[in-house]
Amino acid sequence: MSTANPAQGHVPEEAHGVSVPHAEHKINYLMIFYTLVVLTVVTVAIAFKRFPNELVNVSLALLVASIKATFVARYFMHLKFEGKLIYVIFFVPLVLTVILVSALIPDVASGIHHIMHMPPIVKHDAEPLTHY
Amino acid sequence: MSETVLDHGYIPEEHAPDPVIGHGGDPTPPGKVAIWLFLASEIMFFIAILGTYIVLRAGSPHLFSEHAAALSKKLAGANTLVLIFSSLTMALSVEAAQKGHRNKVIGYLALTLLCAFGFMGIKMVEYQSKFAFIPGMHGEHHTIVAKDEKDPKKFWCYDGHAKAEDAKTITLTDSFRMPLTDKDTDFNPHLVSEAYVEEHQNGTGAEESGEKMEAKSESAARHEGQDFVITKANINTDQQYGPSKNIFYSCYFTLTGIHGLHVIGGIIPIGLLMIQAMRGKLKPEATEYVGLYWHFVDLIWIFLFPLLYLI
Repeated sequence: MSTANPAQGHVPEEAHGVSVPHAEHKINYLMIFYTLVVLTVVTVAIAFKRFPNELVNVSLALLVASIKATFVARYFMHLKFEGKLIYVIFFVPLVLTVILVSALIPDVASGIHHIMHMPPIVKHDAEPLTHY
Repeated sequence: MSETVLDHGYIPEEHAPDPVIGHGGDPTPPGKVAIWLFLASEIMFFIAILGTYIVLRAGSPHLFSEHAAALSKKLAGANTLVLIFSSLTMALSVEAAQKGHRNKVIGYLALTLLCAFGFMGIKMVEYQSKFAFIPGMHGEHHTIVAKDEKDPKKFWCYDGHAKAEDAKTITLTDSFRMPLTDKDTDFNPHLVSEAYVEEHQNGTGAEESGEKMEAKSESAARHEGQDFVITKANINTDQQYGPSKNIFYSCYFTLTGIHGLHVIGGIIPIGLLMIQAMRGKLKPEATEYVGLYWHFVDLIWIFLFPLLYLI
């Protein structure tokens, strides 16, 4: 039992599904900040070096953004040290978000032909602008 | 002997179930559960508007990437760094509050506030360069269709930032114009971008294919424009780059506007915490919850920055 060992008396024994909030977590916030700055520079650098495939550009931008968001959530928001309850609260909307975006896939897919044949913004012939 | 309810009228504390968490439950403080539930609802709020953005973007990807390229990456990049730095100072102020270091709490919260105001300041400059956000202060972006100053049969499409305006004329600085011909029957100033006007300033763009035009707009650096004084009586259409310019700007102002309101919504509790700390009252739990909200605002911006400015 935890009380049997006075040296570790302040550390409660972790039961199943029980978290230990407010424990002393040594987080090097400055290091996280530097990581985020570097990742921001990476995001901008990727944006200037554009790939011909638009899907690659979008995926790369979102990938780096997700990595940054993971750092913010895990360390700044202490998600790494939270118990099951907070994870459940956080992951339910994340799952719903994925469902919502998946439901938009048909709309996005029907717009793909625009990427294939990009019309000029202003058409100079008599053909009416129907793509916007 | 053993103490009972009958002896004292209450259950000794160590045996009583916690009124909130019960026996062996999760000891997460209810306040933290509440703030995370609030953030969960915020996630759903933002994904709803982002979903709208996804569908609109999928419908007109070219319009979105062309107008996104015209937004200031420098200002938005600076804002990203400001917000990340404010997240750092907020995290440090939460840590200081938990350790009871009053001066550090005040200092870090002050830095966080400064960053929040800095973010809004940069945002205002950015908005002002699009539409007359602050009346009387110029620099807003116009697309103007107007008759030629001499030949009333000839039309021009001007695109650039306003420098000065009086009762009779409007002056655009560092701007471009393209000639409009009889063929431009379905010319729409809502869809035109500065890069497009620049490319067609000699009236030579008509035969270019879309692909060629795109390749050009990405490789060519922006050239110096000219100043134009346009007589107001000649103006046919004057379109500012406000939320009603086109659906890209509609998305841009909605998303950044709602995010900006969240920043203002963070300034208020951070300010209150700072006042409390200056009065000598440290609130480590409240600071932590406000910190969670503030990091969430940062997290949303991390996604908005590439979605609106970079892709």
